[in-house]
Amino acid sequence: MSQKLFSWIVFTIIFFIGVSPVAVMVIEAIGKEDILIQLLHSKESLDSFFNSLILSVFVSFMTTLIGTLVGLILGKTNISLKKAILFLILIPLLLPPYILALGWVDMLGVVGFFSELLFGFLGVSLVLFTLYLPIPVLFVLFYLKHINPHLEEAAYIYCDKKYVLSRVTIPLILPSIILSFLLVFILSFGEYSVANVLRYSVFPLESFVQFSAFYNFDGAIMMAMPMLLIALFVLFVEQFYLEKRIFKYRSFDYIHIFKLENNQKIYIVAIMIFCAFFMVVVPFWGLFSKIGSVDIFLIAFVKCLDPLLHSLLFASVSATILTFFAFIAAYIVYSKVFLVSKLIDMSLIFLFIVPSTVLGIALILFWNRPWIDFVYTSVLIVFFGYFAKYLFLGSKLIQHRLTQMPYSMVEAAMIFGADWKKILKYIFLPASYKVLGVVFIVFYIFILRENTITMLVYPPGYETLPVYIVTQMANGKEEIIAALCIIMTLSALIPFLLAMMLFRKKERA
Amino acid sequence: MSRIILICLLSFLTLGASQNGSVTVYVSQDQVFSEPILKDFEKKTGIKVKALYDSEESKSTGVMNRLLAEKRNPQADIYWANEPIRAEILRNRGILAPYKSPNAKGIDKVFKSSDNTWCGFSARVRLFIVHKDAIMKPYSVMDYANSALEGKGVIANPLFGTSTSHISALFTYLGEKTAKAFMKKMKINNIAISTSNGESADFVASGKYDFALVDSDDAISRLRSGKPVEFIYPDQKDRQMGVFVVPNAVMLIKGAKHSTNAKKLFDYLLSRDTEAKLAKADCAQIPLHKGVEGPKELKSISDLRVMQVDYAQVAKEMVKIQPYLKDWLAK
Repeated sequence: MSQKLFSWIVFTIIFFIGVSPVAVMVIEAIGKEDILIQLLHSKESLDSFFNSLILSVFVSFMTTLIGTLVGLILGKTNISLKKAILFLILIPLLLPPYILALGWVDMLGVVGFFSELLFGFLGVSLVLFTLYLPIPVLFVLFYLKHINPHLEEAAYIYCDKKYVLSRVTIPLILPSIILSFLLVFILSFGEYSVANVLRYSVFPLESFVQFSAFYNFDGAIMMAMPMLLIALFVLFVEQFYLEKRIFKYRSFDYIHIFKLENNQKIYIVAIMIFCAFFMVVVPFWGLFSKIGSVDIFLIAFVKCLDPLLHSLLFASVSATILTFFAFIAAYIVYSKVFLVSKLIDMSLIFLFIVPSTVLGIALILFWNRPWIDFVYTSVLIVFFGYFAKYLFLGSKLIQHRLTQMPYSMVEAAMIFGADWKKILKYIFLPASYKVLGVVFIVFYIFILRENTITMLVYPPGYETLPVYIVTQMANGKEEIIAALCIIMTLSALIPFLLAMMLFRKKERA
Repeated sequence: MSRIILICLLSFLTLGASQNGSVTVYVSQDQVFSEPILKDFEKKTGIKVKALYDSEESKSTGVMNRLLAEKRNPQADIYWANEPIRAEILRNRGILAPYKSPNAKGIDKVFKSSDNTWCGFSARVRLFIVHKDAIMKPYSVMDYANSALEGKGVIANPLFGTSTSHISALFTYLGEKTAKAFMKKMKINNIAISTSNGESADFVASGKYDFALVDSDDAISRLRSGKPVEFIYPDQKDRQMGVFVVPNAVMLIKGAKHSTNAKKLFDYLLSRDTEAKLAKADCAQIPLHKGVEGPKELKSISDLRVMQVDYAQVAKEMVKIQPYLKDWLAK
């Protein structure tokens, strides 16, 4: 099989699983614009749309601003406790978004001055800010590693720290700042579970209710259209503006570090630990204090055993398959096979930025047909959701690894007559083992925390833990729900920590 | 590697697929209360129950709507609804199959459909949760329009859940003209709208509002957790309309793949045993079978003045008044 044919087959799979459901949804929507106009005429829908817009602009602006600052401090200064601070900031990203919101509710209660602030714009903004802060931090840290330190050192001879930072470092990491702003914007625009817990009206929730409460497919599809347009806009910016401005990845042996005075270091570390503690530890303290005793924890554990097992099974099996496909997709994009590489890259980005509610509705619309109901009635439909949503993440990480490999190895293999399959199997695959491990963990965690797509499409009897927690919120005991949230947190954190330890051990070895 | 991928995909394909010794049930009753009942059924019969639960996010109507969407290719065998209005909607859409359960004997015919497509069991009643410090207390649903109680009350969004059913029942009982006049007065009286009955109950428990019309389980849970609240059954005097009763409803789905097991589950849900369990649970549901011990804080159905409505009529009214309710909310 030629490389081209193989690439088209892979694209067909991606198209069939993820893109075609969304495409069918758009086609179904043609001619029903009057429904959207009617829906947007309702005060509730219009209010929720503006709520979502203002919320996501505010959250993305704040997150990018503070995240860039944190990223620069962690990446470019000589402060201590860097790894501990980064780990604290990272925790919320590993969990279903509503867990932090529940923690704050448990901490502040449902009445009083602070809870008045929590149940509304400020509360939702705080939780989303905490949730998405790791994105700009990680982006900035990643890009800093690829800045040629000699550029900064040259500037440092004639200028002070501030000048070097503002005229050399920040312009070089600007694409990462824009990219993280767009990513946070799209993620916070599509996120509704936090707003639901904190009783704040947002647009994706309206769309979800149109589908889930009224089963109004036409209404749900039309409510999805504005979100789809925003996703397309982000895709456009990524493909036609940012791609040209992102320099080729190249790691340098060291990063130029701005050395701070001892007292400056103490102040900065203290402020950062205080903020991370406030944003992450306080809500978890709320959950812990609600649980009260070990017995409650054990009761919750026994109750959620089946959903927990489903979660672990879905996450590990899906992560295995997704890692395989991500490697293949990354290879095709890296190989720049005419047209198909671009199509795969754009499809994966598009599916990643499409809000989960839209994707979930599209999957049901497409796969709930009698002649193909083996997908809809089995766990395969849940897997398709994960495949469409998260394949992009792994593919990008692997692409980064492939671009770092010396091309001379491929050329040498080609001289000896190796075809593309042999090159893939004996050069690219062994060189990517480490990143494949990382990709597996990323998939595992993102699938484990997912609840929107799963809730829409899971077959009876196969609910996952994040879905189980959401259904328990209806009249469930607060202490049990808090314990379930802690179990969810541990099931994400333990494999993450184990993986980190394993990688560290291997690195040392 | 490719073998592993193939095995993984096949395992996904088989998970969730139909099994002979199982029954698929869609549940609108809160999972926290319904799951233990279904687990007991599993233990007792050995039949595997595959359940799909609703969430508050979908305003507890998600699974009903999934049933509507799956009409041509039904996946569920049984639907356990937390109110009979949805059963009536499904009946009108031809989704239900008739089944006369032996355990339906002893349940008042008001709580059953005439063609045996659904049967009620374990009910909630709609009552007032009132803050203990409230100076003036409501004794009738009409008190929402009483100017002496202006700005003191709260009600859950009438577009969702049992609030919709209750308002629809009022339209059925009072007639359109009187009901609309009442709704208009309620609006003038500055009655607050909450997102759910649970939120209404929390508002009253915190003292933000004096009273709210909620489901009995919402009131009981606040009372049991020591909140400063009491409850009042509305409209209990002679010639008053009485309290609106909201039973659970069980129904068999037309074309069910596991109809024998489904009938067993149908019978089990209607049993006295199930009613006794739901009465003892935190949801504190009132049994419809006579002689089954109910929750200690609540009166039995026979001790209450019950609002006499035809649920089929209420269901029709509910569909009819949706545009009016949307307008009412928007104004």
